[in-house]
Amino acid sequence: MLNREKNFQSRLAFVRYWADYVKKSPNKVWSKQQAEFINAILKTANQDVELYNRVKKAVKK
Amino acid sequence: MDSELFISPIEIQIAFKLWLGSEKDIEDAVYLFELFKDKLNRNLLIKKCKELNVLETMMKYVK
Repeated sequence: MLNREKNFQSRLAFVRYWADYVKKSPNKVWSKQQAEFINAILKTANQDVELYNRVKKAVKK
Repeated sequence: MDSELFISPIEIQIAFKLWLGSEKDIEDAVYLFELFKDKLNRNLLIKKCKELNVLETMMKYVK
């Protein structure tokens, strides 16, 4: 199986796993985890070049 | 305060995501199906997939 197809099948497996987890977990639990994840993505998306460079520099130390 | 939120039927959303067809769209369709499969109107889902010519895609990814 090509890497791309294997990668896609792996993502589909995770999608099914996450859907099952959401169905079995209390709303407060999974929604809090999802909110943290989305907030982290938004934070990354909103960072500017200056912040990116500062973080990159800090990681190198 | 009581409010109502109207959304399109999940069956149509699944069919439409399959029609859009990117890997991300298919993942979204699978997610919706898995989340709501106990409550879905299977006949409506099949009907909408036929209308959008994605019945084969549905059979492939939505189990």
